Amino acid sequence: MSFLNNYESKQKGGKTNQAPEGMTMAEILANKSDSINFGLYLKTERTDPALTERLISGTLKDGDINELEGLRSVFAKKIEKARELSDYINEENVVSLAGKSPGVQKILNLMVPAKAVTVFKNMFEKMSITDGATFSTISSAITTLEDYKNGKLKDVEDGVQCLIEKYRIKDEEALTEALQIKNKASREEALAKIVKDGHGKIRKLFDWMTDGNSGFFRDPSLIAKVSELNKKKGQIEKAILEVNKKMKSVGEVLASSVNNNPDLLNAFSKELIGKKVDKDGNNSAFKDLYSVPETEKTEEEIIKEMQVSLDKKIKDMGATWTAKTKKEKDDYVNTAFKNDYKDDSKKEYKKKSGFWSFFFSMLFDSFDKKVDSIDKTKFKY
Amino acid sequence: MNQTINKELLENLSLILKEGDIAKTKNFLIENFKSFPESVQDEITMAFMSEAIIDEANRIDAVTEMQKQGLEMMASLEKIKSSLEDELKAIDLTQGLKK
Repeated sequence: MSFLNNYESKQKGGKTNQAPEGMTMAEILANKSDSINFGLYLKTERTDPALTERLISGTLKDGDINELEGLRSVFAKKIEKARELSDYINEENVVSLAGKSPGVQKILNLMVPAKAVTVFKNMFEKMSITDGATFSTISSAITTLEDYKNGKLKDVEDGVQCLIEKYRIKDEEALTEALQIKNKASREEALAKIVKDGHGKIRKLFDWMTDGNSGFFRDPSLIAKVSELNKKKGQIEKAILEVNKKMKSVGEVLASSVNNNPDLLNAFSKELIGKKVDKDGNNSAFKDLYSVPETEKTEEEIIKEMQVSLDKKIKDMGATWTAKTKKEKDDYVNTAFKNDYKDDSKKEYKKKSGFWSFFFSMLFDSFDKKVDSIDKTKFKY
Repeated sequence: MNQTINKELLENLSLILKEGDIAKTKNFLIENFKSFPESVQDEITMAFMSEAIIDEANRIDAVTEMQKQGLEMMASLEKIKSSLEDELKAIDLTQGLKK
């Protein structure tokens, strides 16, 4: 690959005379997965296809080097970031995730953790190139998991543990009982109720305490307010009892939040995240899948849509269309127009598909066949 | 490894998607996992894993936020309790002096 030697020597012989940052072009092309991803990256960046061809065939021109260098540098950074983050996804952490996710558990029933790790790493690198938005969401989630595992959020949990010890807070009796329920569905239902009630209490109290109008505890003239209790012993004692009650209530919710029982964690997850969950308690990645049935349009619907598109194209062509012979018009409708329509539809659907673009590509085989089978006589032109 | 998808499998998946039941769709993808081409198996694996990662991170964020609020509340409650107790002591002291 002499063009590569030429390319690399130009990279190294630049102004700074330093080795390029990240993977070199030779390294990218020598690795099957990296070279495929680099190809995808060139496509994503809408690079001139001729540049890709020149790169593959080893006929790069001088002007290509600078452009490629810019692309290589960004590509290398993206891949490096994906690799760095996906280091967290090791066998141990995947097994741990499976303990909290029935979905991942099912996947691990089908493949060994090592395979799941490899698939994730490869897909994550590809995603860094092709789907920046999803990559960013997952990256941010991995950072949270890493921070948690590395103890960066430990201060908060330690604070809760200190309080538990200081006030000798025990789990609510109801919580202890709920955790012992043998039937899974009943146990989950009981835990969900406890978490909902507890969180309701804590949220109500927090809203009240932080409300500008009634925020008694937040008022800077706190002591003055206390003095307003008319210095009547009974009233103050009653207020202390009330504060104790609230502290017990908050303390119990905090204590349950550091209980590592998976069912309780799941109940917290559902209550606190406040998302719409299906019966498995999941959401996110699978939601996008439901735009797919749009490709399952009936023939009548497709004909109607194609007619609108054809009318527009004929209008755009103007005199060129009028000048065409009957045969040329028929040929256009049968080939170029149908191909354009299929391509436009794919682009449109892919925009909606997000994570599940693979599924669209499967469906498009049947979609293409449907469009191809429509006879030109079904259109008016 | 099979790289094409069975037509019947695709049709069944389309029917399930039309029902709009996410749990049922997931079960279908898992139950028929081995019948999908390897590239699709990888996408399914990635979807399940990404979802679990995001859900777990959301849970950690939400619980941590709630714990922070709870600790803040406990600190405020401790402060008010201490003020009330001081006030109570002052009353007791005053009453003692009066006697």
